[in-house]
Amino acid sequence: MTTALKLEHISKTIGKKQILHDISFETYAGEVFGFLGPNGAGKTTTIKIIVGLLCLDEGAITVCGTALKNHFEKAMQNIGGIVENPEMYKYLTGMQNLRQYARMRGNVSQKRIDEVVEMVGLSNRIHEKVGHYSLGMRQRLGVAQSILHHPKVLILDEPTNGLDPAGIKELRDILKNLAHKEGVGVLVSSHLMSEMEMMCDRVGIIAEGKLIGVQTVEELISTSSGGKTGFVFTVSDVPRALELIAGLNQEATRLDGRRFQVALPSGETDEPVSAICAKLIGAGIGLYGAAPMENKKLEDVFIALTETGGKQIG
Amino acid sequence: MGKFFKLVQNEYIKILNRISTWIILGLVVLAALGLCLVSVLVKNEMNRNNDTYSQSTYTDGMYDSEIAYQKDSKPEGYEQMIEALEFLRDNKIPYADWRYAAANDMAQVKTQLASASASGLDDATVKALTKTAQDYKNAILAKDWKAYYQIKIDVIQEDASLSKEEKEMQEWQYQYRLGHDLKPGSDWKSNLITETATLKAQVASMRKEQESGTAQDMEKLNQNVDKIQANLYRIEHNIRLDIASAGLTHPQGTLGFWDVFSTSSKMISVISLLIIVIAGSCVASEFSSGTIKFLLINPVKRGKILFSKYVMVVSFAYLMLLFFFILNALFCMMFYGTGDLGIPYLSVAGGTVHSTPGFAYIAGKYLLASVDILVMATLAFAISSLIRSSALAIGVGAFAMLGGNTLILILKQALNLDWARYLIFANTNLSSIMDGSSLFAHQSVQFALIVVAVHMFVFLLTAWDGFVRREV
Ligand SMILES: Nc1ncnc2c1ncn2[C@@H]1O[C@H](COP(=O)(O)OP(=O)(O)O)[C@@H](O)[C@H]1O
Ligand SMILES: [Mg+2]
Repeated sequence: MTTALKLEHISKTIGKKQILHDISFETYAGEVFGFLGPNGAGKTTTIKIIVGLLCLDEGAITVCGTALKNHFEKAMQNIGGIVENPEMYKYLTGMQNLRQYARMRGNVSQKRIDEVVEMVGLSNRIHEKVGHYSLGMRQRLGVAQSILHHPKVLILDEPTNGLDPAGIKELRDILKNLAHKEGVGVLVSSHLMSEMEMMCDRVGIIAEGKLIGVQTVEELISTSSGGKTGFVFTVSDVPRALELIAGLNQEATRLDGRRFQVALPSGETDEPVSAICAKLIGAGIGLYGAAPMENKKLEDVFIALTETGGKQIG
Repeated sequence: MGKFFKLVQNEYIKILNRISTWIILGLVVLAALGLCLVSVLVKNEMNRNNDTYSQSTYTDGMYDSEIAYQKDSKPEGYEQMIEALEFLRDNKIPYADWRYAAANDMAQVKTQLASASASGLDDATVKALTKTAQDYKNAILAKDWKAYYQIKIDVIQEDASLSKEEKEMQEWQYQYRLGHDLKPGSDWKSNLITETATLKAQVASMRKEQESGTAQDMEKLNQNVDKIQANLYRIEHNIRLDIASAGLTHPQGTLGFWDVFSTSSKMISVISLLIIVIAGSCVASEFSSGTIKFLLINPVKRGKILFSKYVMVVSFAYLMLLFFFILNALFCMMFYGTGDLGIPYLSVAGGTVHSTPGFAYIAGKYLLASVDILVMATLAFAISSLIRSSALAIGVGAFAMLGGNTLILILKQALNLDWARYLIFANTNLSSIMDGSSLFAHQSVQFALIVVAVHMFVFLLTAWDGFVRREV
């Protein structure tokens, strides 16, 4: 796997407030990387630093092996993106806007512009003034703008904002296609877990300016339950119960003083559960309950990990 | 280079797709048209106020009031004057005719004669004066201007109180007319000869004073000498107009193409407003509309983007100047015809007269005036880049353009502060500095150019620093 984008120890302070704390991660060519975090977590700030809108105080950014700081133009040649809202020149048509960006990037033919417009589904409206576009249409235009020059790294900041469900699906297909077929390293930020789950290969979670972790979507779900069903047992003596269960060749995790959890292959839980119960009861441990856990979604993981679900925005 | 050209192209596309640009452009067209319309009003007004003394046709009773005045107040020589006026009346001679001047000369000689016979002069003098008076009369009756001028020359030659140089100087215009067969009249050539004769007299008296040790304004003296040369060149090459002094306020003869066209170079502030609006908004509007993020997310260094905007502003300013120049030329041609287009501009340097096409001369005036536009536009550009507010940038730019001169006027005239000469506003009006009409004594063009260059550099550095380091 080749590295598309590499962030090393990025910190950023604006005014007196430190907004980013030592952020490091890598995205690879051919994958969709989700950058997940609640509002105010620092997603946009990170993205602005990557595309050079904010200056890099501390740390290093490498785009396809080129250091952003020393070779800005060369590094940016490989980047396409949208930052925050897709604000284009309202008094120009969609096509005129795209031509503006085409001229700045070089090597973008009219054929390529038409191709991209077709891809984002704006062909019928591209000659209208952007001032008359809806948010969703501008978002599509923003995506078109970002992929004009075949960037190796595509960075989209909350691109599903304002898109209708069909639009979201189309975008998902476009991004997956770009990543998996054309080998683009895509970075998508979002505060919506459900869509991350559907479009991303890996997810980095950021909260209050700190990167909490990077994992594949499968990993992330399976750390709690994915593919398996968790059974929670409530017993009188957790340490002894765990010892016994280790003998049964089952993996158990302690939850608290009275409960532990065992991950069992979904659909084949009956026999192991009765075996565990028999063993516990046979050893004289008080068994107060045994219940399957609900299948946890990424959303729960996200809220659990960031612990900001019910708090104020940081 | 090709890529940079494309950046500038982008800026032009943005500017030309904005309605505000076209509205102001429309105002520029209106300004050019308005100038021609105003000039027509001025022209009509001038015709109405035509000076009675240049009246070139005789009307009955035109001498009555003057005769009555002479009869009433009886100034010295009034009898001879009345005789001359009655003579003019009887022969129906208007003011503008050379014979009017000849009749006056005749009256003067007769007055002299009267006082001479009273004080008892010798016969020879009386005889000579009587003959001169009779000769004047004959010349008038024969309508022979050559004879009249010959008498004038003879009178000067016989005047024993004049030196040889003075005689030459005084008789010059008569000799010149006789030599070039130029009949007197109120046409431009006659006026020019009269003006030249006056200049010659001035130069002669200045030189004389100089010899006797009084310091003279050498600049004025040299100007007069040059002017005499240029005038003679004009007469010989049949150049009706002096484009350098043409203008709405002092037209030569009837108002014409060059009077209006040359005035247009003073209306360039209309263009500065357009340019200040563009310069003041081209950076700030990217911020206010949020498009700056998409502008900077490209593989182009910020410095280049800013520079492309500045190149657009400057080149647009000069394109506008060219447009305004052509527009004014076309409107002036529409209103005043194309007859005068070939008239050249004359400049005298090192004793020789150089002739340049009139259009080149006016273009030069436009270029000099463009310095002001350039400075104000750069100021607005810098503010726009530094503060990211179009309104503020346009406001300060326009205020500087309109209020700068007033500020200088107050500092210099009211408060008498000489350091005001270092201010940018005292140095942008290059054409007035060049012809020496600057408020500050000895303000030189080189000095002004240095002040302008320093300010431009500071403005651009500010703009660059503000734009390149800005966190978006
Ligand atoms: N220019 C700024 N000055 C001060 N604080 C800022 C600035 N921009 C963003 N922040 C703060 O930085 C934090 C992260 O913002 P942002 O990156 O926009 O979050 P998000 O993850 O929602 O995109 C927020 O708390 C925000 O208030
Ligand atoms: Mg954001």
